[in-house]
Amino acid sequence: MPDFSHLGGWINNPQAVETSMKSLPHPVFQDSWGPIKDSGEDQVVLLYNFIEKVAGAVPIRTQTIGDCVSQGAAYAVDAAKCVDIYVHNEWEEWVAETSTEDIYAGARVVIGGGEISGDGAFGVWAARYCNEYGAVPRGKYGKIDLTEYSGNKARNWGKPSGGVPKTLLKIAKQHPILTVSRVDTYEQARDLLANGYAVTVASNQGFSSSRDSEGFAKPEGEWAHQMCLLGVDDNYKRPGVLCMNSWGVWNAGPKRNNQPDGSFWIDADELEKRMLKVGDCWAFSGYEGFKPRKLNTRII
Amino acid sequence: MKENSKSNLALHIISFCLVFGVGYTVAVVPFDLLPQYISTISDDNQEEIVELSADLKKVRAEYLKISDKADRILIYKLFAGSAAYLSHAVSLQTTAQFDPMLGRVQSSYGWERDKYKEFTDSVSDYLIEAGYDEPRKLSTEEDRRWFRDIFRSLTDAIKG
Repeated sequence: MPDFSHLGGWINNPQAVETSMKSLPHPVFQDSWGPIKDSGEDQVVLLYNFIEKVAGAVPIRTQTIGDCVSQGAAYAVDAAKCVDIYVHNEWEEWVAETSTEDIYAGARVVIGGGEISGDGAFGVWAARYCNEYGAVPRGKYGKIDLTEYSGNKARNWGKPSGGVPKTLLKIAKQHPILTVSRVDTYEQARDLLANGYAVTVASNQGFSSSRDSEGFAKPEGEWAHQMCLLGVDDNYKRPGVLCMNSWGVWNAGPKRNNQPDGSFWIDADELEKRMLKVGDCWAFSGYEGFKPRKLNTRII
Repeated sequence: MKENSKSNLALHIISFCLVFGVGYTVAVVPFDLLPQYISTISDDNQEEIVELSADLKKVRAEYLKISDKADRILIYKLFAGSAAYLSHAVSLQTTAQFDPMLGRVQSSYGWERDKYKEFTDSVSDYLIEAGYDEPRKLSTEEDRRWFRDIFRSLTDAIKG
């Protein structure tokens, strides 16, 4: 397997996560689990299918620096948008995939206060930035061009002296993720995914680049990395979750449930003990999206 | 979590094409210059004489400048087919869903938008006047009738 270690940008610091999450209104999902508890049992819900239906295709992100925390968060925002549009039938439109550079800088500088000099961030910082500020789709915002992903831009904006441009911050504020909450067990992740929440997963756990005959990847190696869960299949003989990576088409092997390139399934027990227990995995839901623009009237 | 019944574009396009194929392949429209009043059929099948609005008069005037008879017939079919389709398309949830379908149907006929710029301008002006440019949910029967009637009016304006 090629060396992806330079792309690992998640920083493991449980104490800092605990401190940072205190400002969230619902920091721990356990406390508000009641109404949907066990609703995901035996369910198959594939958020990536909703993304495909709304956006036309699931974005295949290919990060070039250690900004995985923003990549995973951006997938969660994509999913939240599409669930709003497709499932909840909200009067919004898909504009483009969520940009990552602003989330990266927002996490590191706006939320984190610029205390980290090298690449990387905590998962909670990105979750808080998306919740307290927001996320924008790729596109041009005045002189700011976020049309194409740029690792260099992410790195520059993410420097302690950088940050999210003020004009962009103002726009992002209009498009927050409405709730973020920490996920600690497979059952919580299952119930959340089954109800349309995407879940970012950050840990030091690596996975094989070869999917097995059922689309699962075996845990192996170490990645200081954040990714995103975009589906759950609790009805299969091997209950598990679909994990979307941001390394392009980096893995291979059989697929199941029409899963996107670059993704793999993780067994339920492996997810819980190797990733969720680390304590920096976050459910995202509800996106304050974009109202449809005026319709084209040059129709003939 | 169940998926909602948001439109399947392909199915919509097929039904749209069927409306054209079955309902309007035999449409024969005389294209002589007529006065600024048109005869229309109301919902209760009564014939009505209606004066065209200024915007629709402009649509008609521009339409009659098109010398290619085949293009005029196709335009008529597109408007009439749209109105007929919208009379039955109960699964269409928003007005924004319609244009992509119309575009595909036009492509399948080899029609390029803006072929007659002044005519397109006039239709655009009418659509803006009618409120078509503001995306709208098609939640009630009234919404659907309003949307259908936009195309019915265009059809009536160039008819006869």
